[in-house]
Amino acid sequence: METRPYFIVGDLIATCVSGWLAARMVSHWIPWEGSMMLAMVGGMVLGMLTGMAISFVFIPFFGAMEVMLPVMLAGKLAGMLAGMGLAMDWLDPPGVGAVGIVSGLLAFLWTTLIHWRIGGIHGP
Amino acid sequence: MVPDTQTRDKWDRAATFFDLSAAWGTEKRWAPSKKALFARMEGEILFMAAGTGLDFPCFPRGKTITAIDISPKMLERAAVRAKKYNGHLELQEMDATAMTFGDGRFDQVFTSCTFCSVPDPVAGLKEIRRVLKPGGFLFMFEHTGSRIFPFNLMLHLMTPISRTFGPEMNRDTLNNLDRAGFAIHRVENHFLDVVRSIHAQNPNHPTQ
Repeated sequence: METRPYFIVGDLIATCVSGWLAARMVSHWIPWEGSMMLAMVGGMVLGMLTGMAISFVFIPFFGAMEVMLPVMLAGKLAGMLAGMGLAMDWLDPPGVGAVGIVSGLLAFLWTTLIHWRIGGIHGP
Repeated sequence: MVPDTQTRDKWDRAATFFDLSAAWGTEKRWAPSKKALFARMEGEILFMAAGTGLDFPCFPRGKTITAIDISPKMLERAAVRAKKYNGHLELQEMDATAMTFGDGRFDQVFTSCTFCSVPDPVAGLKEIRRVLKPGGFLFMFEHTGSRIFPFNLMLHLMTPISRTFGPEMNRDTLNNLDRAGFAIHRVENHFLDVVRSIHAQNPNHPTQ
C-alpha cells in the first residue's frame, strides 16, 4: 500500500483532473440530447480515451501503471455518468465538472480498496 | 538465428524519450520494491533488458553483474550509469531469446519490466532457464495483465497502441513462467495484480 504523501496526493489530483476533463469533453462532444444509451456508451469511450491521454501528463511525475489505470477508470466513469446525467436531464452542462471530480475520487478510492484487498505476498 | 531487428529498432527509437517518461516518477515510486528485490543478488548475476540503466542505482554494491539489452541506443545511455556502479557491471548487446552465453552460467537472473517487451516471452523464459544454473533463481519485477474488471479490459484495449512504441500491457507472465518450466515460489503484488515481484526457480536441480 502506498503511504508516501507525494504519491497519494498525486494520484488523487490525477484521477480528479481526469474525471473533470472527461466529463467536460462529454458535455461538449457527445450528442447527449438523443439516445441515453448512445450518450452513456459514447461518454464512457470518450472518457476513457481522455483519461488515457491525460495519464501521459502525470506519468513522468507519479508513476506508470499506478497512474494510468485509475486515471483511465476515472475518465471512463465520469464520461458514462456525465453522458447519462445530461441525457436524463438531471445534470446541466455547467454541473458536469463536479460529477467528474466525484468520479475521480471514487476511482481513486475503489482502486485503493482493491489494492488493499489483494496487495502483498501470495503463493503461486 | 535471424536478429530481431524490428524489436531492436523499436527500442532504439524509444531510447530517445525513455528517461523522460520513466526516470523520475516511475523510478521513485518503484525504487523501494526494486531495492528489496535486488538485495537478493548473489554469485554471478545476469540482468535482462538493462534499458538506459535506470535500475543500476538500485543494485547492491560490490556485485558481479552482466547486463544485456537488444538496443544499442539504450546501452549507450546505460553505459553512463554503469560507470557509476560500485562493483563489476558489464553491458552486452544481446537478444533475450537468443543469448550467446553457455548453458548454466549464471547463479541468478533478474528482470525489471522486461517480459512486457520480449516479443516471444515463453521463448525468452526458456532461454533464461538454459543460462541459469540448475536450481538457480529468477527474480522478476514486472507489470503484467490483470484479472480484475475493468482493469483487464483497459489493459487489453491499450496493448494494440502501446506495443507500437513500447511494451505490451496484458502479458500473463505467471502462466508464461509455468509454460517455460519454472517453479514459482513467491508473488508479491505491489500495485493491484499488475505490478509484481515474482520469485521463480529453475527446477533442474541435481537433487530433483
